[in-house]
Amino acid sequence: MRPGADPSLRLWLQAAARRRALKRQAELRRRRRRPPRWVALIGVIGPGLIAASAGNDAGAIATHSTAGADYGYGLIWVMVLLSLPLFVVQEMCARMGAVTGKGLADLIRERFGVRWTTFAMLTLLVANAGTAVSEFAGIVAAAQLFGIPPFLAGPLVAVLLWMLIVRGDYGRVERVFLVMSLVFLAYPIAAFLAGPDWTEVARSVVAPRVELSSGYIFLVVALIGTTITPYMQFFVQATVVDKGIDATQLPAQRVDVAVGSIFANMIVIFVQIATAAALFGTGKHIVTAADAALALAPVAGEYAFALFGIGLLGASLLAAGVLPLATAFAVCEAFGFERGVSRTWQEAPIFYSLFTGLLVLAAIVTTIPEIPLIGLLLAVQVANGLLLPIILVFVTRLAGDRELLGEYANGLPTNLLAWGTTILVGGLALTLLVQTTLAVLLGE
Amino acid sequence: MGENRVVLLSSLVGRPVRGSGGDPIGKLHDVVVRLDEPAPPIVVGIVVCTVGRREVFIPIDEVATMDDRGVALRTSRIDVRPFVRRPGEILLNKDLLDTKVIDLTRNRVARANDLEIDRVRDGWQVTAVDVSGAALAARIGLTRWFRGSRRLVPWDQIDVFASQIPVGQPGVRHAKLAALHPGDLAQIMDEVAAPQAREIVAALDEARAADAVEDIDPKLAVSVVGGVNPEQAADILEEMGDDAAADVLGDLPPDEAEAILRRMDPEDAEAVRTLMSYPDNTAGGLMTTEVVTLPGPTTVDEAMAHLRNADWVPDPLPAIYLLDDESRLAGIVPLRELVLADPAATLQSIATKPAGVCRPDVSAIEAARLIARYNLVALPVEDESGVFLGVVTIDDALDFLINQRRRRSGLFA
Repeated sequence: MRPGADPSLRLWLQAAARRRALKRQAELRRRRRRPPRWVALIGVIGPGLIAASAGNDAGAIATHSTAGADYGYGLIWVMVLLSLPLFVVQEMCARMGAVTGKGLADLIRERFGVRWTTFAMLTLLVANAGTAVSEFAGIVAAAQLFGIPPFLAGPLVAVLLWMLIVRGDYGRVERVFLVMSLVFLAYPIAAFLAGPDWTEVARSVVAPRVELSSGYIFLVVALIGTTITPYMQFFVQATVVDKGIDATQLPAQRVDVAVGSIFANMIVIFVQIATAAALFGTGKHIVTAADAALALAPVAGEYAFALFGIGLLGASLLAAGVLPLATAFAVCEAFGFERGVSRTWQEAPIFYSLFTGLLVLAAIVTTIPEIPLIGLLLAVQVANGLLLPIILVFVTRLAGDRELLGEYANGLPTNLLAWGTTILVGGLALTLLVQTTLAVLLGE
Repeated sequence: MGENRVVLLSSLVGRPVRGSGGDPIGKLHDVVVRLDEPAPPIVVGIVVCTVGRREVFIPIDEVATMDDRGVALRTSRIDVRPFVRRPGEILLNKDLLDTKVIDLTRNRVARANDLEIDRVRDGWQVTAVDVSGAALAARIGLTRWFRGSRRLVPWDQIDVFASQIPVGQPGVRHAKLAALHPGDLAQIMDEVAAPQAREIVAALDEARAADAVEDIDPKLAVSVVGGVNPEQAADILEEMGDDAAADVLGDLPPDEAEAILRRMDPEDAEAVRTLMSYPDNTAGGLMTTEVVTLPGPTTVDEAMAHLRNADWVPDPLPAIYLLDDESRLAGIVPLRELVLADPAATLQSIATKPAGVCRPDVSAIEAARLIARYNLVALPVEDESGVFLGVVTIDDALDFLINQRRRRSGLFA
């Protein structure tokens, strides 16, 4: 029969040819790219690792450099010990995000009501305003290394970040900042090249000499505040929710959080070792970024300041963009205001005011002439350490809530660890507060 | 004694509870209701924290009055056994206050900032939910600084989520959602957490669920479809456009996607498999294979009859595509020409020559550009030997362009 005489036969022939073509297309592509099994794992790996790396910001570098310069290897044990609480806290947040699909601010609002939410959000706002200031301090300090005066760097970066975020281009630039901050991977190399006395390092970890002086406790609280930041818990949970990770993926998620916690702490331990090797015992203290940069001299020689400057700039910019945004997002989430950069200023006025306000505040504070940037950075980390117990109480109570999480609620070991961490951090914060108050009262 | 008939939950919680003789018994902690839709929630009792720091239940029959000054009981004898929630019971303060609900007067998600409880003939029931900022301000004690009026949404315009309630099966049926447009449903699902989005999908029939899931954030779609059982997922995906189904399945773990594909109609599954093989940001990734193709000699009348008698016609239907025997695109009859043409004319006589045909591996942006340049409703896609594969419709191209900004903004879009 001549094709065309019967329309239904022609139709059938056409359809068959098309199906063959489509099938061939699928075959062609299937052969070209078949993702290996580990790719599925990579999909889950990420939130914990990124959050932990983003935690190594300007404040962290300043704190660990100071610890290394002033106490040598004497505070490394704190970081070794802190890896466990860091993991425990982040794992709780990741778990809550995966099981409920909700952010931390959302859960606080639903389980504790409006008043407690207001309290938690004020805490977060104060802590994050401080941290935003510290990120700008990092930016200004890095700019100074390259000879750019603070009154120019602060406002300029604030305007730039604001435009990037509002225009929705931040996601792309973020990767550039992330790559810049990878410069800090030079610290382990610097630490090895400096040839420290490794037995001495080991001894200081196994048998640390704990002091009770206010300077020592001040730094311990700063180390805690810079390692387990209030904001990071909100960030981890938001990332897990955003990625659509659910309870079935929790084992892989746990690995991610553990790797992230250990990796982040390893890096900063090397910051302490490298700085201790370069500065401890020389009588030199970290007063400016240039002093801290000396720790990288074994790697970059006279260009250490440039290397340090790039890393500091990248790490600070990375956090300076995310932090005001994440803060505004969490606050609006808790109170049910419109939020998100895909809305306009008219649609989400509170969201935009909050994050613009944080950027402006940070730019203004760091532009104050003669402000001691390193001192400011340390003070913010201590403030974070003081506020952390408040957020930890919320996190631990939520993660132990059986009605909320069912079988995924904290077991006894996690609960003990979490409450232990909360009480320990709270106790240290109280000790520091009492010591400082006494010192002020006694007129020291 | 002036007795209030209406009371706000926030003004009850924490208020003193007294026995019939005015003796202090404790503080009100929560209000227990039972819900059996479509009726509003009926109060069955209150949870009181006694002076001895024990949570006990007091049935509503024992309550004489209840207002913002406190609760007065008809008795002074209470059952001191600790309160245990029974299946199906909802605690207003713990489960409902401050959670997200659907406000059907605006078809949007809102937070239950307060709940209004009314005295009715023989008991108490929840009659409205306050979703206003004023209610929020009042609870923090900021009324003085906050201007703005309260907005009480009557209970029959509110839909709540059963997945927020930890124990038992509360009588939530989501019957009210059946009247919503899939676009509104998608917007609502985007604003709640994944478990609640899954609850919405489970309550809808397959066709509506499919329409809604096509429009939600791709990551949420994956988590929603991956969360329901494979049988139901297959039903929903079959109802979805093959392009949207491919997007969702492509992001699921391979073995989960395969489990769902095996339960789908084999022909649908094959098209979806092909589409899954293209990256999301290419014309192939946006393309649908659901098109109407006919031979050139068909008359307009026959074509119309073919469409009318078909058991399924693609939606949208931009044009009829004329193919030669090798399945190559020979001409296009846009719907407009088909409707206006003489019924006796053959399709090939009124067909236009294809403009702006592209390969499946060109970028999605380029596909959008071609649609704009040639003023197309759908852009034909063909393989290297010219075989017609499918079309990129303008609504999918538009979605891609709009969501591009969203994707770039990342976490805080």
